[in-house]
Amino acid sequence: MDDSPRPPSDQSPPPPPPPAQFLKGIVGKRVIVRLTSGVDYRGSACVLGVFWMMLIDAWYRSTIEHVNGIVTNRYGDAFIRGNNVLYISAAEPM
Amino acid sequence: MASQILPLELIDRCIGSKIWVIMKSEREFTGTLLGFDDYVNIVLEDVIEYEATAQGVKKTKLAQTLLNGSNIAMLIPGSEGPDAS
Amino acid sequence: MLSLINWRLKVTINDGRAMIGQMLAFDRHMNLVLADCEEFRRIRPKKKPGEETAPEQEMKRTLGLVILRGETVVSISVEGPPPVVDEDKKNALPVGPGRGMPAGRGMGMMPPMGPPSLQRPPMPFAPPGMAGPPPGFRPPGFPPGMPFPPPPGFAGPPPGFQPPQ
Repeated sequence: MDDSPRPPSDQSPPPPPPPAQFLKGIVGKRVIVRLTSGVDYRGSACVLGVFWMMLIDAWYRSTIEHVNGIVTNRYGDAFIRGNNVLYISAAEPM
Repeated sequence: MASQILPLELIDRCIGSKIWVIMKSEREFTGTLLGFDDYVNIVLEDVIEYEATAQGVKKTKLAQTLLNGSNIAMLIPGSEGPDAS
Repeated sequence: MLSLINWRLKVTINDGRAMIGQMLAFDRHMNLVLADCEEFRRIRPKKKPGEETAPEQEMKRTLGLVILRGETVVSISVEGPPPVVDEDKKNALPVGPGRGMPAGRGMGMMPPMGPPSLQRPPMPFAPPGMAGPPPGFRPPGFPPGMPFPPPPGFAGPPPGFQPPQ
């Protein structure tokens, strides 16, 4: 353990945790969002709100809703509350 | 107790290696652990999702994926997942 | 919780699964590290039209080392005591070439003797029920007044000490 004070030049803020980095990196990319109910949304991530490192909500553009692989709905913009999200997966290279 | 390792330290040591994530429902994921945060939201790479359905286990391949920590029940470090055991 | 460390526990989680494993660690969220963990699930197969109740199946899987999220824990019960492997290892250690003797300030170099609590005059007579070695069976090198040889590691009475005759 190195407890000695570091010179000020080294005091860069610690990098954000990987989940926050992922959310930053995914903006503008196509994503698959699966809710805990099993419903899928495919679209481009537009804005991702990160609050206390928790995924709170997200806007997606030209969203397609899938239930069991069948397209059930097409939306322009969709707003998904983070508590319902099971995962967000990148559908194109990050 | 000086050698005691905390559960989250153990996950930290798994970064970069394979991990098997079991959710609260009948759903599981395997992949390479890229990292996690205080809420144990998890970022995985080269993911396979295993979903128990009436027809059997459905597998889905995913690229880099952020898993919501609130649905995670268990983490098994170094495991290739349900197919390996 | 601390007293349960290394014990084999059965942890019920909130989706109905039960996990049995040796608890190596926990934290304030009650996240647990379970070694040699086994998972038990009750599966109720789809009820067929003709059947009254479908038989309940128990599914068992061996998972190994598991980190269990504290948020999911419903109850913990003791399944078994900690394995005694460590104790066995301790006992299996070969006897080293050292010896124990009292030491410290003011003690000086004492002749090798038992610790003070063990100091007592050699028994002048054999303990009840033990007649002592019969004449002619005394081990060589011990005076006839000494009823039995000192235990190994003790060199016998200090010089000049005469056992009572």
